[in-house]
Amino acid sequence: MPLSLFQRAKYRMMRLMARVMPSCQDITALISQGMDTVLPLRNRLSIRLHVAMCSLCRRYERQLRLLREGARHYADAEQNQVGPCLSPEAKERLRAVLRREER
Amino acid sequence: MADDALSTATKTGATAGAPVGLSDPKQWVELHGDYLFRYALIRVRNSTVAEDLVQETLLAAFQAKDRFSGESSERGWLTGILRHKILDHFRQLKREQTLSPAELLPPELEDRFDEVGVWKHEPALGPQDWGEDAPTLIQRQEFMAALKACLERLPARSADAFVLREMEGEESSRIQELLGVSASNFWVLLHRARMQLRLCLERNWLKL
Repeated sequence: MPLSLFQRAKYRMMRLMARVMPSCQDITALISQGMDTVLPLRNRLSIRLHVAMCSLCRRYERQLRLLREGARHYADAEQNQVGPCLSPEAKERLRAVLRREER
Repeated sequence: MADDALSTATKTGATAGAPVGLSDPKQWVELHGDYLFRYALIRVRNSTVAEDLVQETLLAAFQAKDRFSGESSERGWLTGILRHKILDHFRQLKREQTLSPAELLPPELEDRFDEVGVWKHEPALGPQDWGEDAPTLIQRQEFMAALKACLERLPARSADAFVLREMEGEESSRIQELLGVSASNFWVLLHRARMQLRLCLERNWLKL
């Protein structure tokens, strides 16, 4: 799909800004880091200012949060549902270990 | 270490069930074996290692069974012990400090930005719209299967950093110490993991 005039203008503006401010490439790294530590105020302001203008980085940030939520859910739910099981041999081994220990 | 592990284990234990002492250890394999195995497997992503961790856990639990306080359920108690075994496992994996080029952002990810660092527009290589349903869809089985497959495609250390941070919810400084990486390398590992997982999910789960 060809870009609309508006999208083209926005892209040009983002390119201009990237010369004087952190670019999308810098901001994506900062967004990630900001999820694991408290960034200096200057960095937090850069991120907020950037995502206010850049819809793609806004989307990126939202998707990283979804990824976090999904990973937690996976870590939680996967164990309660049917999934990979210990093989019968492994279970026998484990039982034997406990039996030995009990003596 | 063992004492410390077991006392925290009781604190972090799961919620379910009234504390009524422990069941017969002979039944632990039947009652909790598969659960503990899956818990370990999604974190260490290797079934031999997961099996060993379950064995170590059951042994440690057996030896400490007299100290079970009943503050958590039996399963919660066992899971807490397993968690410590998993962290120990990651600690023992400690690898070289330096990151190989393969662990940094690969060209496929770097090339999504133009020469000034803006998401490329033609062709559009920025994040796609995941749709309004995404928050509900991540709860489904399909998402979990895709996440599992995408994690397997990451370099091991990136995946380890992601698992410890996003699944176990460990503090960043703790993970740096566990994995034996510097702070700056840690940010790179996670940034790479997230960027690649995001893209992999977009392609293989949402098929955008």
